[in-house]
Amino acid sequence: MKIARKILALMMVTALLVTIMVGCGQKAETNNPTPATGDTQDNTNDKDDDKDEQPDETADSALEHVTLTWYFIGNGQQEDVKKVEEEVNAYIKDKINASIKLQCFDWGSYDQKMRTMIAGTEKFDICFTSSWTNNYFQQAARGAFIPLNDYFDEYLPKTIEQLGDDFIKGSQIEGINYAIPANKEKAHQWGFIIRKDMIEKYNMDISTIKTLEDIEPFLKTIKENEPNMYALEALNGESPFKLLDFDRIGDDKYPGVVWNDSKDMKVFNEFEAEETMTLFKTMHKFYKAGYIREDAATVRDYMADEKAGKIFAAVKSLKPGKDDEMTNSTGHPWVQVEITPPIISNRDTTGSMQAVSRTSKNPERALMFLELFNTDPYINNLINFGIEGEHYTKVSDNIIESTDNTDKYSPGTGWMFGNQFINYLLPNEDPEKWEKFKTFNDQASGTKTLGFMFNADSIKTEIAQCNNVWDEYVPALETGTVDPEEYLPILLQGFKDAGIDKIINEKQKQLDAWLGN
Amino acid sequence: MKPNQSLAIRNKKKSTNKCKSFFRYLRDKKVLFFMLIPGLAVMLVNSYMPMFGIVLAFKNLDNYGNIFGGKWIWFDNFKYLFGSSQAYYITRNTLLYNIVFILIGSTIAVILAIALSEILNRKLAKFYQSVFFLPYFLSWVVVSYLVFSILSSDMGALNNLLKSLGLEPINWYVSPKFWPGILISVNTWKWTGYDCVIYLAAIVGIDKSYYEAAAVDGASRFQQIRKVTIPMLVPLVIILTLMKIGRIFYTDMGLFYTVPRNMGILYKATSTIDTYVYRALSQTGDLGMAAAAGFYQAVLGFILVMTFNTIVRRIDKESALF
Repeated sequence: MKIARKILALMMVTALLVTIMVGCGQKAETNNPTPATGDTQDNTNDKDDDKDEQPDETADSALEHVTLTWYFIGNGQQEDVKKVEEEVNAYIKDKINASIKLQCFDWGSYDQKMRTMIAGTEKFDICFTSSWTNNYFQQAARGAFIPLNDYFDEYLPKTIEQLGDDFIKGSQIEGINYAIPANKEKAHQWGFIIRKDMIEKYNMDISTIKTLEDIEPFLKTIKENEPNMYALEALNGESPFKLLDFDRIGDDKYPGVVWNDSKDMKVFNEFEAEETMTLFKTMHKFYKAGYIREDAATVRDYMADEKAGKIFAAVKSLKPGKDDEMTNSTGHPWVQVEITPPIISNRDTTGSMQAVSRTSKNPERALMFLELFNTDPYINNLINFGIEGEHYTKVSDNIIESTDNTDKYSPGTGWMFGNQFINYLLPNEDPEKWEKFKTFNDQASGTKTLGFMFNADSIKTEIAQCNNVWDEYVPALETGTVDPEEYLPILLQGFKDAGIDKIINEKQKQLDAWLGN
Repeated sequence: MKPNQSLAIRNKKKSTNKCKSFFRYLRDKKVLFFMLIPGLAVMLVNSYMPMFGIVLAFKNLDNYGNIFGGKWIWFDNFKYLFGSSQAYYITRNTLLYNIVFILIGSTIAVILAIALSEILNRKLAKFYQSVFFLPYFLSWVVVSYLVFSILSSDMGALNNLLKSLGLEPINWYVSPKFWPGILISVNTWKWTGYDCVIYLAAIVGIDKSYYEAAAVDGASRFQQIRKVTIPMLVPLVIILTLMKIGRIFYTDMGLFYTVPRNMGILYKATSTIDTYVYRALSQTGDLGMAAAAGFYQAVLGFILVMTFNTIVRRIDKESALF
């Protein structure tokens, strides 16, 4: 009996200890620093790979080997990503003694995955952030990313130099940079992207397209002759509503904008504008005519239909050669039709950035990697296009063509990966593309609000409620699913109840203060 | 010896006795307690330890990663929940749907179970049972596509039927008014089989001599069902209902999120506390606000279970959970 009691007591104590240990989520950390001349890379897929790797802070210049995790958006993990990873690691090992784990989530789920991971304090080093996904302003305001300005001179000198002031200033929040923008086009321009093969097949004259209404006859042709296609792509958050090109000072998902060419800088609710009503009516007409996918309001993955060849026309943010880029990333030929003038706004300077996570154990090394990645053509193109001879072959110095294995690794997201001006070009692209980019950048005019960052701290509650109202009605309105005559008033009332007036007043106040200085 | 002193001593004796008796009890029932350990450990880790997280509901976390950091903002997180008409909708939906689910689900399950037990051909009864039980094994994603294939406005079976009858087709996914009915049907279809099997097992377990006695007294089949089967099932119905009431402020994400395809325009009819918290957290990423909604849910659930259990105890002590 005594023995039994002892065993019982032991069991109890063990159970208690186990629960305490599990409950606190403390993993016993192995403290085994890998020697700098480590011959093995750890290629484990264990996500909680918490080796206690502290960079040597002493004068000793030999860096310890570390593993960096990088999350970004694209078509999900590609087949050969591990191969590319190995090539990258072999190259950067001697330079910064690090290895990188590339982790790509698809277009539809990146935003949610990152929000969940950041809220759950997942350990990672670098992630893609922007004004349109994994929201830069929100995440930075919550302290998800480390401020980088103190590191600029030491770790990112070349990157900062090539980016120039517009990008650096345009991505600051109250004077601090929490992420490094990609060096790409500075301006945005909304317009249509249309299937080239269909235009030829039905002999369309697309030079007539100047507004959303002008595209209707072409949609009709497609609807009547191509039963397997959706004539116009309009999805939740990716719809012709963008053609109105408001200057959205602050985030998406709550109202309060100014016109780009506004003289008096008056902030207003964009859903009260007549233009919005007109556009929604047009969209509803298109929807009823069957030009738009019936469940458009619930679809989140932009690329799936485009890649499947089901889309005839879509509204996109354009830049020189956007059509060629789309041709390469979707496998179908496209041409672009510009509608709005090119404009530099905060959304463009914050449209594509890499941030270093607060949970990173080696922020210095992550920045060293980014510096290398932004300035070294070899590594930049390796991540953009894969391995030479396998995923592409070189035609000339900076022109490459695809191979049979291109499908296994072709992210097609040059605008995200660092520095476009050192990217290779594909044969169907304009050899002058990067020159045109420079011209495009130089020609575009900046908005008056460039550099203004709205601080939403004081109205968090109202914003959260407006987000809900937005989610409830805007997707259905912008995809044309419902009649704006009926639903726009409901939407406006919903915003009113959610406290939109307070938000607009706050925006106006901050904007006036900022313009005044 | 002063009287009050003696009282103290007596009390002390009593308490040591109590202590002793508890340990004796432990010793006598040690095997049972031993079996309790894993369950207790799971409860402790999954239910009690995370309770510290309640502080999140009253805080503004400016810095990720430390739930004990951040500023105390007390009830500001709740403002977001109650500041708009949202709180009313989600609470109303959660409660009403669950009440209807419990009422309709239990009734249909009991009726089906009795009907199945009355089928004389056992093979056929088994077949029916399997048919009722099948939906329980389907994942919500599959169910959502099944529903979509019925309700889709241009290809859906239902609209094709309406068209063939010469009626105007309906765009189901933008008409909130139809969704209460749709959700109730889908939920009943999915869960009834499961409950039905539990009731059927109870019916099979009823002592046959009752029925024989009733038959001798000249009771018809219907009278036997009314006077024997149903009274024997009541305690089980109460227990299952109590369990469900404990979860009355929780809803099935699969049903309310996947089946309506997260369609914004249907929120008024399909948004419940759970889906609201999920959306809030996945969109704003604000832990404080989501924790506030979760806390509100837990408190309401607690109050309700206590109330209902008290009522049951008043009526019939044996049937109460505690």
